Amino acid sequence: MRKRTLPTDAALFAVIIALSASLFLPTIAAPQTSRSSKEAPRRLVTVLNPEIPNKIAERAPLIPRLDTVDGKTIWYVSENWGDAKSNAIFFEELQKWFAKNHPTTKLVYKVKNGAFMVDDPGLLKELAANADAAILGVAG
Amino acid sequence: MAEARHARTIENELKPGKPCVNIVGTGPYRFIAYDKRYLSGKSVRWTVVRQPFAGQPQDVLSSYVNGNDPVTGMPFAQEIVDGLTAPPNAEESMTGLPATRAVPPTLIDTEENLQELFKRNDWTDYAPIVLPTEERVEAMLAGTKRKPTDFVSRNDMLPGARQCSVKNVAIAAVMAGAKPSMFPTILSATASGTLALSSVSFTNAIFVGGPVRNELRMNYKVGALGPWNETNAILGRAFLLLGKTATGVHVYPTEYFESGTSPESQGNNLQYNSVVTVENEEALPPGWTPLVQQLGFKPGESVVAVGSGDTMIHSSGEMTSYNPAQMMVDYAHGLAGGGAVTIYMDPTVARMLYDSYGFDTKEKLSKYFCDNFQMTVDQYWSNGVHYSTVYGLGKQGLEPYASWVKAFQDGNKTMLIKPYTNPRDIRIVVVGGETQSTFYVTNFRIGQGIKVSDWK
Repeated sequence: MRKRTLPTDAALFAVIIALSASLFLPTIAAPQTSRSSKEAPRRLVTVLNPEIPNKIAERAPLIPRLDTVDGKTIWYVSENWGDAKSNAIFFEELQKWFAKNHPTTKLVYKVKNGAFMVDDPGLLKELAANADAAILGVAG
Repeated sequence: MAEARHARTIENELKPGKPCVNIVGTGPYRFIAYDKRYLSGKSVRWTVVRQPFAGQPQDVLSSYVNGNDPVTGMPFAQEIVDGLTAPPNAEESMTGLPATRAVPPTLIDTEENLQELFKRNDWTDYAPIVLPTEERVEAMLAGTKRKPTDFVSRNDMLPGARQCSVKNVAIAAVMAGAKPSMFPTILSATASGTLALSSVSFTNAIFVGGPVRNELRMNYKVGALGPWNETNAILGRAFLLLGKTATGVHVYPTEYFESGTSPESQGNNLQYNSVVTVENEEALPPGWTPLVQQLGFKPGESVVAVGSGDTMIHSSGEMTSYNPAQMMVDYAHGLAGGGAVTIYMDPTVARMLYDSYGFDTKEKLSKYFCDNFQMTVDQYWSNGVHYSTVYGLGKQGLEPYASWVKAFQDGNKTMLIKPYTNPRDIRIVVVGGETQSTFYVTNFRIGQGIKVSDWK
């Protein structure tokens, strides 16, 4: 049977620090310390935290939006995800919706080069020159 | 997360930038939502489309466009228009670094509570771990001459970019129950690759070759791919635990996530051990080169190479008179695709291929595979993996994919093609105890090899 010992001052201090720290760690599940008052205090263990802090990127605000989509040219850029047929049909259905609800919007279908995860700088350069806005999809 | 990056490029890096709305399925939505809310903070507007998407008929896709976003409940198409026209709100206009959550270097509690804490934070495989006390981690660090602060790998998966040091790997190694003698091999695996995680159900494949196999008493004979060896088991476990802690795939419960789980719809049970495989180099037929040397290393060098894939198909029964090479080709039609194949065969199968079918090198077998695997363009492009990864290359004009795209578009869908174009993508690993003539065909792509001596 394991010998149970009373916590030292240092250990108690460590508990206070740990509990204080947990107040600032709302997304980490807090240690469960519930214990019957009749039970003897158990030995505390200090372990290294396996987690690594994330590298946080600087925020960039959204750029100003269009005042309206009416009369604008919007490129629909397919990312090559899923299958060719579904992407083409999906665009066709979206085009029908725009024709009914925003008939003066020009919706243009573009398929990017390369796999879905790689950039297509040529297409983006054309987009910058010729489109007022972009719809990017579909990613599954 | 590529889709979020493309959207940001259109908004933030194009000159002039253009308003953009990203259409995503529920899987990547989880990535993007978390990314936007907690990490990079670069604003992206998105609309969520119902899934399944690929392979759906017109009436279903029409219902998606004319229906509601399944997350917000708002009309889908109108949400696109609003995303392009509604002025940015206060959160979308913020600049600077978002607040970060402090990560304390140590955790203090009873052993029982710490086990529970690690489990509840999804830092384990839900079996008890060895708690990483400072003393145990120090002992693990003695297994390498590298400094604890040395950089090993970087993982850009959620939750955010993380740089993994030797000490971080040591913590995971302790948790998995590793001995210091195993540490250089675990470090090598970490340097070779990171835990495979995506919106599809990947797993890793960790390959080990060279003298380290015997130094660590790894199993490459009877039952080598099963749970019958300490080092094989612990290497796979350490890699998984590292993926769930230091290299960063854990996601904390938020309003977007039910629990700290991966974004895959199904997951993959093979992730538990990361398919640790050790080649039975001693049982290779004459002329068959160990994979270590095929990867470019010299005889006598110990190497770990981490790859990824998702499927293992087993031949199950003993070989018959049916040509095993053709049987491997046939079985490979059941793989999800992806352009690479790794075949794990028992030495008896290798010997049969050598003795009876004239395969006096692994390279000949790899070439046979490429020459004899055929499918129609319709079958090829109907596979979402091929469409998502290769279709754009064909559209760009790269052969042979361009011809395959053209045939598909011209309606010549029954045209037969040979999709495996590079024999180097067909890897052969000889592993097993020579008690049964069986093999696995997998779609694992073996990655970059790392010399274990670099991490000793």
